Amino acid sequence: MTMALVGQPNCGKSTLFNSVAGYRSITANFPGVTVHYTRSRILLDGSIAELIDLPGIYSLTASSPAESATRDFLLNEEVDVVINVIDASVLSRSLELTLQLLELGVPLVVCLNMTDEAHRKGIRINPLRLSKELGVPITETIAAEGVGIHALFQSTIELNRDSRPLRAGLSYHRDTESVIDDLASLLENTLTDQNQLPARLVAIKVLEGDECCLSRSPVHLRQQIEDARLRLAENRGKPADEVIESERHALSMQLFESVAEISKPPHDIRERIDAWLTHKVWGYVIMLTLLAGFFSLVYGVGTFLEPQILSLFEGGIASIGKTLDPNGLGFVAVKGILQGLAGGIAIVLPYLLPFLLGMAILEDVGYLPRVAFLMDAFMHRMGLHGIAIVPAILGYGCNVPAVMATRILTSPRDRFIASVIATLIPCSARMTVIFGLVAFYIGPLWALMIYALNILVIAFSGKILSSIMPESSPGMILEVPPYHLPKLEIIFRKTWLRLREFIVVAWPLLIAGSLLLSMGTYYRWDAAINRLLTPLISLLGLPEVVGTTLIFGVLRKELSMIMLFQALGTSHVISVMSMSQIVVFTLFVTFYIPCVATMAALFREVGWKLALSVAAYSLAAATVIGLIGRWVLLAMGVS
Amino acid sequence: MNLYSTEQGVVIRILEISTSRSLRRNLAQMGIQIGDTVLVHRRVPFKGPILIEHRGTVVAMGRSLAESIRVEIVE
Repeated sequence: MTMALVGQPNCGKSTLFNSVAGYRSITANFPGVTVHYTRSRILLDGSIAELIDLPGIYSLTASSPAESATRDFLLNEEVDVVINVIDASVLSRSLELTLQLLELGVPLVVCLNMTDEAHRKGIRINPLRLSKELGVPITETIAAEGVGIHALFQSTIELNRDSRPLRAGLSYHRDTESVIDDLASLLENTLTDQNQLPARLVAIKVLEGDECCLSRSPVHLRQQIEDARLRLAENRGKPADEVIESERHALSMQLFESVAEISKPPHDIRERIDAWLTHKVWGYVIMLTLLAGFFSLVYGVGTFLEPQILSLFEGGIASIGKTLDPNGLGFVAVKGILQGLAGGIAIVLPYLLPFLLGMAILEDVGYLPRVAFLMDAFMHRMGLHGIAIVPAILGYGCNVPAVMATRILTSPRDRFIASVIATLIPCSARMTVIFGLVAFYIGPLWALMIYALNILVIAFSGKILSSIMPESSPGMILEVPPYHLPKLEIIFRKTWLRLREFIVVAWPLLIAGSLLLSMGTYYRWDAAINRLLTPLISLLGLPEVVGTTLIFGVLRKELSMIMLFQALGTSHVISVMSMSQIVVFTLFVTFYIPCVATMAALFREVGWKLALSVAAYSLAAATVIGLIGRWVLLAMGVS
Repeated sequence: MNLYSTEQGVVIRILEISTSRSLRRNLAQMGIQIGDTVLVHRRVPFKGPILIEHRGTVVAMGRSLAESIRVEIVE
């Protein structure tokens, strides 16, 4: 049995998914976090079933790639039961998707989630009544607390066993229904053998002007379809697609009113907090304070732990050096592996762990959409709008999900600009380089300045791109969800999920890279690579040996720092590199070519030509910034 | 009057949405259409967006879009 979770963005699908499948799908209090689907096998009543977590969609009319993905999945894959997850606190709006799922004719179970949130908003829903109106089973749940999950899957199993055809008694106004009926009966005879879509659904979709359904409809009916659209428009004095939309809207509101009781919400402390956090002056002050606090937390934890763990490793390496021949191949290999390990444990983890924890809390509380709201005016200066800040913020964690998150933007031009911007954001890997080198050796203020410079470069790049592609940005529409108290367990599991990604993917690479480079130095291969990169390296005024580290950095950005220790033969960088060299190196690593994983994501989202241009642009930008950095530091007298 | 020119805290009714088809659709998907009554929840400076609330859904909306929505004040 295959079940798919379908619902509007931020309704708790992934939370529900994780509560039965273990934490596998990243969740956050932010619309549109899931952009690709996650599958899991779960044990249901003694038999194995498959559960699929699909990206959130507002409607079945695909307007962004994330919506197309979900819709195509529902139309093309074999799904036995669709579980429609609804955020009960926004029931009225959510029913519009439910109505479309009913039109799709798939076996449907409704999961009325976040009923606690609905109560806080003063909304009480009668589930029996709603179930009767919709003609589908309904279960109330609070997925974050595991309430009602068992009952939900029980009703799913029952529905699958009965597999009785669903027939909802819901219909639009009579004049609209008659147009839909006429068109559906015309389509009925021609459609059935090519695709299994119900004729009524296809009729509604073509009336709405859905490109996909229109192109699949038989050519000889095109004129009749056009006539039907005109009839609908004449009846109501507005375009056919608006008629269908407003019919669905009216029906949902009417349904909502018949099943829900609204009382004045009890006093909610969150309203007071929100008034401060989105205040026209204090909102910005608090935002900057929070970011500064976050920055100091990462810096404080990292610089406290780094030297202590590092000295353990150095002691270890030194004692091995006493037993093995310090110039022999054996010691070189062991040292290479140990330094790779040390890089991961002593230099990356102390910064990565507090960063991921802080990020997880910010995401789950629901503060990030407020940042998007506060920052919209600034994003406009870059020719984008506030929603584009979603991929940007995600980019501070990792550029790969950030590039993928650009799918929530509807215009291809915005998606391109936003994905370029996402690749320029210093991800957590680059964050460890900035903290591990600049903040640690030179000072936190310098690290902060690199972040500030990065924002300037991003603003500048955004400005250039939007003047090359001068399409007026359509403006922001973003749903702002209510705050949630973060759940410790979810925060830890999410942090672990992301940390595991680092341990499984990056760590072996760090160790292998470190080993490879120590071998390279032993056999003197590195010299050839370094010679090749000499023009660039000497332009930036860096020591010649850093050449190879930049090649490694393309694989993973932290690798360039770990390799730096290897190439210099010490993890005490300040003893061999000057302050200005450390800053220039970090600047270059922060800006140059996105890592391979990001390039691959970019390639998928915007194609290879644009992906390569982004790589070339970032390489050029890194060189220019490194060079300017070198001169400025020279002029300032920093050596 | 347009939505952007309203004061924080007033309740308005949407009379007309004159913007692109896709934006109007996006709004409709979030449950906001012509005829709905909406609370102007919050505003920010620097020609920033406004927050509006409709039946439990809070939506942040950019200036240009808010300016293209004609409204009347209900209370």
